[in-house]
Amino acid sequence: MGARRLSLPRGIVLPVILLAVWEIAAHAAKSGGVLIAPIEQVVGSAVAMAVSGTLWTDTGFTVARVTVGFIGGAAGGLLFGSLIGTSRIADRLTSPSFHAVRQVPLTGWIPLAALLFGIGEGAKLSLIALAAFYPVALNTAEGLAGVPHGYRELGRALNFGGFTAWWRILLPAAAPQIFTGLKHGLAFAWIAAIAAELMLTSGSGLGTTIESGASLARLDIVMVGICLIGACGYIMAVGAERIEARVLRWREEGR
Amino acid sequence: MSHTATAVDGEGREPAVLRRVRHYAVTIGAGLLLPVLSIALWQVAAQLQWTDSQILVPPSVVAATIVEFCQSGELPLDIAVSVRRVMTGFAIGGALGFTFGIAAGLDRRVEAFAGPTFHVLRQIPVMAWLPLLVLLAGFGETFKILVIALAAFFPIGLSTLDGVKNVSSKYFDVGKALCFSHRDTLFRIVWPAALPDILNGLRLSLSRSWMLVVAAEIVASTNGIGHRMDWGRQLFQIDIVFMGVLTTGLIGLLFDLVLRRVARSAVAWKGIR
Repeated sequence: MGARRLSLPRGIVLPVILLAVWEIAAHAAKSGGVLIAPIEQVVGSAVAMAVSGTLWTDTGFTVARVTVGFIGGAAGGLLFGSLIGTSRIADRLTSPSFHAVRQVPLTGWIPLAALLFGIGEGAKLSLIALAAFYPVALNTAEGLAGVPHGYRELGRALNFGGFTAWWRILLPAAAPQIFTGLKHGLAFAWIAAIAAELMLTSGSGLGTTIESGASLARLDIVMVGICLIGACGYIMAVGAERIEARVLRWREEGR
Repeated sequence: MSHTATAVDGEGREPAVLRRVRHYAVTIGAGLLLPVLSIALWQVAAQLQWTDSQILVPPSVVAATIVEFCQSGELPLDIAVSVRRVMTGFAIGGALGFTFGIAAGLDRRVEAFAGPTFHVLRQIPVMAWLPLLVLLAGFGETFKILVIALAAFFPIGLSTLDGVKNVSSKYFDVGKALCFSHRDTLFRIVWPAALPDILNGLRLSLSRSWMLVVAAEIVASTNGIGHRMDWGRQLFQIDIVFMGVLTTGLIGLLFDLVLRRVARSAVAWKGIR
C-alpha cells in the first residue's frame, strides 16, 4: 500500500498512449454521435468547476461525511473490538453474529438504509460508519487478543484497574494492528461514501456529481469526478500512513 | 457414533470427547443466543405495535416473503443471475489480473512499463467507474460484466504482483543450484511460494465483485438480487429488502467459506496447521 517508488521514464509511456487513444477516440466518436469528452474538454470542465466553486463544495461535502462517519464507525469499532478482544463471554456471544452480518456486502445495505433513514445524511453517514466499523473492530479484537500475557500481568502487578489497563497497556500494545484496521476502515469509508452518494442522490458530494454528470451524459464532469475521487482517496491513504508512522514511532525506536 | 463408544471404554479419555461435544454445543448455542433473542424481540415489538410494522416488518412476514419468492422461483432465479454475472466477470478480471501480476512480478521491464499506471488506477474505487461505464456500455450485460471484471482485476493483480515479487531469493538460488529450467522455476518455485498471496487476493476480489454486482444491479438492471432489493425499496416493501440483505449476506458467506478452505489447503506446505 501507499507510495511506491515509481520509475517514471518508462512508466509514462503507457499513460501517454492511453491518453492519445482516448483523445483520438473522442474526436472520432464526435461524428459518430457517441459522447466521449476529449481531454481538453475535461480539463476545461475541471477549471470551470474549480472557478465556480462546485468542485470544492462537492469535495468538501464528501470529505466531511467520510470524516464524521469514519470517526463514529471507528470509535464504535474500537469499543466493540475491545469488548470481544478482552472478554471471552462477549466474544462467544457476539462474534458469530458479527461475522455473519459482516458478509452482507456494503451495497446490500443501501436499499435498506434508504427505507429506514431516507436518502438524506442519516443513511449516508450510517453506511460510512458501518464500512469503517468492521475492519477497526476486527483488527482491534485480534490485536488485543494477541497482547502477550506478560503485559497483562504487568498491569495486575501495578494494580491497574480494568480501564487503566486497557488504556495504558492493552491499546498501546495492540496499536500497530489497530492502525491497520483504521487504515482499512478509512479506505472502506471512502468507498462507502462514494457508493452512498451515487445511489442516494441528494445534496452535494463527489458521488452525486458523477451520477448527475452521467445522467446528463456529461462525460467531462464524470471524468473530473473520478479523478478527484481517486486523488482524495490516495491523499487520505498517504495521510493515514504518515500519522501512523508518527504515532507508532516508538516501534522503530524500540528496535 | 462409534467414536463415543470406544472413547467411553478408555477411562481418562471419556470426558475428552464429551468435552468437545459440549464445547461445540456451548459455542454454537452462545453464538445463536444473540440472533435468536433479537429476532424474538423484533417479532414481539412488531406484534405489540411498538414499532411501525409498515417500516419494521416482523420477521414472520420476512420469512413468509422468502418462502413465497422461493416457491415462485423468483429468488433462485435472481440468485442465479447475479452469481452467473459475478462468476463471468470474476473469471475475466481475475485472469487478466493474474496474468498482469505474474508478468509484472517476473519481468522488471513489464513492471516499469505498466506498474505506475496500474498503481495510479487502482487508487480509484471501482464504484466511481459505475456511472461512466453505464454511459459508455449502456444498461446491458456488458456493463455489469465490465464492472465486476474491474473489481476483480485490481486486488488479484496487486496480490499476484506482490506475491511473485516477494518470493524469497533463496528459493531462486535453490532453483539455480538444482539447474531448474525456466518452466520448473515458474511452476515449482514461484507458483507455490506466491500462491498464499494470490489466494488472499482472490478472496478479496470475490467479495469486492459481489459488492459491485449488487451495486451495478441496483443502479442499472432489470434482474438479479440487487435489482430485486431496489425494486422492493421502490415499492416500499421492506420485507423484500430484508430478503435481499439476507440473501446477499448468505452468498457472501458461502464465497468466503469456500475460498478460505481453498486457501488453507494451499498453504499446507508451509507446515502451518
